[in-house]
Amino acid sequence: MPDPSDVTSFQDVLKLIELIKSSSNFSEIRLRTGNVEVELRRHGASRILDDTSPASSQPTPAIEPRPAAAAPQSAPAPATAPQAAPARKPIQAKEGAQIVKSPMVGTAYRAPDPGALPFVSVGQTVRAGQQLCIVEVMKLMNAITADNDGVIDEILFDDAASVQHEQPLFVISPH
Amino acid sequence: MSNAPSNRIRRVLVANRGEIAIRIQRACRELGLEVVQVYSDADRDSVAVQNADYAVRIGPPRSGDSYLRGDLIVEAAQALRADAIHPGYGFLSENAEFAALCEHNGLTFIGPSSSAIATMGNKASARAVARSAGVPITPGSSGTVADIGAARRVATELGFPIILKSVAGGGGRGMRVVEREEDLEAHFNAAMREALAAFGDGAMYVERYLVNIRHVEIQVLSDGETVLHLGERDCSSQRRNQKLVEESPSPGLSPQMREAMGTAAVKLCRHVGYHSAGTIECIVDPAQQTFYFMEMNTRIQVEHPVSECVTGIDIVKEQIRIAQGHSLQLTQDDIALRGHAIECRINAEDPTHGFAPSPGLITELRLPGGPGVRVDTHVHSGYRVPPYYDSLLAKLICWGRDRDEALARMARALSELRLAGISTTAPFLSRLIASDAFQRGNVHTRFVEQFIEESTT
Repeated sequence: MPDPSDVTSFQDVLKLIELIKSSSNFSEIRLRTGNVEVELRRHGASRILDDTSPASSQPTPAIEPRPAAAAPQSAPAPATAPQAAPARKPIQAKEGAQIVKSPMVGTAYRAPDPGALPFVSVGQTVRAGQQLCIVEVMKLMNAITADNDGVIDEILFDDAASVQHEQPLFVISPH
Repeated sequence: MSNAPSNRIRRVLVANRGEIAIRIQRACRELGLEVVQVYSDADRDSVAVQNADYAVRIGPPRSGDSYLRGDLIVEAAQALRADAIHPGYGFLSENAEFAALCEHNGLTFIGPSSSAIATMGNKASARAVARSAGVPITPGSSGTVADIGAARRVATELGFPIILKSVAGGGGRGMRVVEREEDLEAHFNAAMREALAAFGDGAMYVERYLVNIRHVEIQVLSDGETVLHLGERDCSSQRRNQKLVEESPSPGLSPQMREAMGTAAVKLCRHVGYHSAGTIECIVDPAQQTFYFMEMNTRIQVEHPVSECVTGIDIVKEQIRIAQGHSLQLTQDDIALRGHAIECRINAEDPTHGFAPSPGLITELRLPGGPGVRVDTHVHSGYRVPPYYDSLLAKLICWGRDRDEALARMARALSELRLAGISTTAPFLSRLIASDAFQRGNVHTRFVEQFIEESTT
């Protein structure tokens, strides 16, 4: 049997509220004690969900944009509405341009290693078969390559962004 | 429970996710400990989060921003007044710096000391330790090879084929088999680059490459005084150095070999003053009836349930009890392998498309059950498998009075499993264990790859 000091009390909840208020690292804490389940979230802390689980029906505070480092568009879109994914400006592809899409859901990297030079940048000439980026899925690194020779017109994702199946990654126009 | 613990633990923070987080939570519950579960945004609605007493978000889905953030995890443990951290496997489990960070902050790292992790985690230093403990090691370089010249000297002395390995390696990265001397330089450079990129350490060593070998590992438990071995697990069924099926006892080990390997494992643990659960991985050459130390894993392993089934010992609970300062209440004579256990790893991979990862929504799930069947999993119907982490969905472990019964139960259990929405390795595993070679227990580390080749031609 736990001694009374072990039992989560109202005081503990107050302490956790203070913790959430004061720490920039923890914006969300849940606790369960007996039949009571408490979820504490700092106002403004966004929820980036990996799915559209209907179970997450708790009242959600207004979702505000997160810092640029983890842009909300990096969250995978709900499977039921894949077209609702990143709201970007329409792709302005030139005549004959190829759009390189992600063959799978995963995380796209522009460089071979953190801090390394990117595989390609806008304006660069690429050859068919040249590696453009990596899409990591379940710890497996997949090289994404250009189908044809051309020039990189646009790069449509941020480094280390989550990407969806068939999400456009590059626009490459012919020479 | 007669001895008083020297290290009071009331609340354990689980610094992991998936099935192992649930496994650790189960052990904590049975020991009367409270659980703090950390989670990334991708695991917000996970069973581990729902079942925990406290759950705290530590960051976005990418593990580099969440489950690998040792600083945040320590801060979370302190904020939520946890006294101990269980790292599970993968992530920070074999990170000596993280263990040291816990130690410095007065938190019990449920595992060995940071110095034991550092010593045994570096493969070259672990080989040196094994050699000085009198444990046989594969013929090879005495330490690292500084450059291609040194590698060539060692390789020529050993004779080809040789295998190049990264001191920090894991999961087959930074590793190259070299068949001929003329290929050595290219492989050496490639392996070094790969290791440098993956582990930040390009140091390499050279070993003789042995074929037709088994991968057999010894489970150990040590409280620092008493060191016990819990028999072996045969993990020869691998694909690209990823284990698919594990079993205990090994069909390829004589009682004498088992005894010799167990004794060597205990000797090695004593030599480094090891404290916690751990695994000594060995290469066994069945033709020669010899074994060589390969490496030590200073953590709980994915396949630990296999040993739990044949010994009746809850390894995770024992690991936590050791961290609490309890002495082991068992002696080596108390440990007997009873019957036979086999584990199949059900992964979210498509065996019909080169085992491509298959994340996504599980639309239907029916798990097998009945006599001798254990399933460790975190997935359920309606669960969306995130693309950010490893592909393990479930571990299916079957026990039988003997290997034949365990095999029959595994075939039966795999046939009961229904998992729809994503591809899994289950149909492949059914065929694999039904194969003649596996049924006869006649497998080696390249068996799975040969099986794949034969079944596709």
